[in-house]
Amino acid sequence: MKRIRTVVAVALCSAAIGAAAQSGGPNDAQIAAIVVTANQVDIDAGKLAETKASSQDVKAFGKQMVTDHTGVNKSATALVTKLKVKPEDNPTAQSLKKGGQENIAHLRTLKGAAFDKAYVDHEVEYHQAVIDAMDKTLIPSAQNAELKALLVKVRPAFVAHLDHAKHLQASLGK
Amino acid sequence: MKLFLLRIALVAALCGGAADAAPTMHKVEIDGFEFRPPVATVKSGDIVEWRNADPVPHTVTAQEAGLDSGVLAAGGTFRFIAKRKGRYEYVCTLHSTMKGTLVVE
Repeated sequence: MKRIRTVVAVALCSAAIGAAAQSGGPNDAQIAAIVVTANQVDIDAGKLAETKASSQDVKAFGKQMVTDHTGVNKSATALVTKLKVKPEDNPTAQSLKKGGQENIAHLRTLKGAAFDKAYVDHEVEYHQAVIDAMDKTLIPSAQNAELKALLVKVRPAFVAHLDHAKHLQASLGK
Repeated sequence: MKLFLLRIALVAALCGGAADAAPTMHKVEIDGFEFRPPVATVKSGDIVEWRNADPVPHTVTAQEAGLDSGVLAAGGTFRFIAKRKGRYEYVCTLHSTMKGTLVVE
């Protein structure tokens, strides 16, 4: 589990490292790919939780992650299409995808309360890591004003999800 | 003639009365996971319309005010006639960080 968390943290931190290494940070096409991948990773985990979680609250949370991140991705895809920006694959997006796949593979080995705890713990870490990456790298690096505005607009979604996940985490711990 | 004037006075009174009582429409935008404005002050009988400008669903809910939009899809609107006077804290039940206040005078 720790390894998966590390992969997620490393993937998202690499965006910050990249920004420091390249004076401008990731370009808009790379940011678009990171955003779409970050949402898709959480959609995939949410779909698994919808079917596999034992707690109704965790199932509902998973369903909400699917709904919200699908909505955010739809909005992001519409914008990049309008801006004629083609999402450009990059090491951060690839690491996010790999980390997401590893998380899913790990969650599939669990069931009952162990699944619920592992899923929710990961959601807490993941949303915190995404918020950090948005604040430190993605929002400051975005060049196009509309892309930057979209990132700012959807950031509270991650904050609300983090808050929700923390409450679930606390209730599962009781 | 007297009857005519009386009719005009009656119509004017009715129109005037109707104008005074006409409810006002208040708009609250749901944008960036916030209710804007965060506090809406209205008169009893006024209409409040919430529009969801976010890409995700929200709700507008205050049970004690009889206010519940249900799931309000992205781009959707919800109208509520504010009848009961009071100060109501409302929330989005899907996103606990979202809070707003409706004051009905």
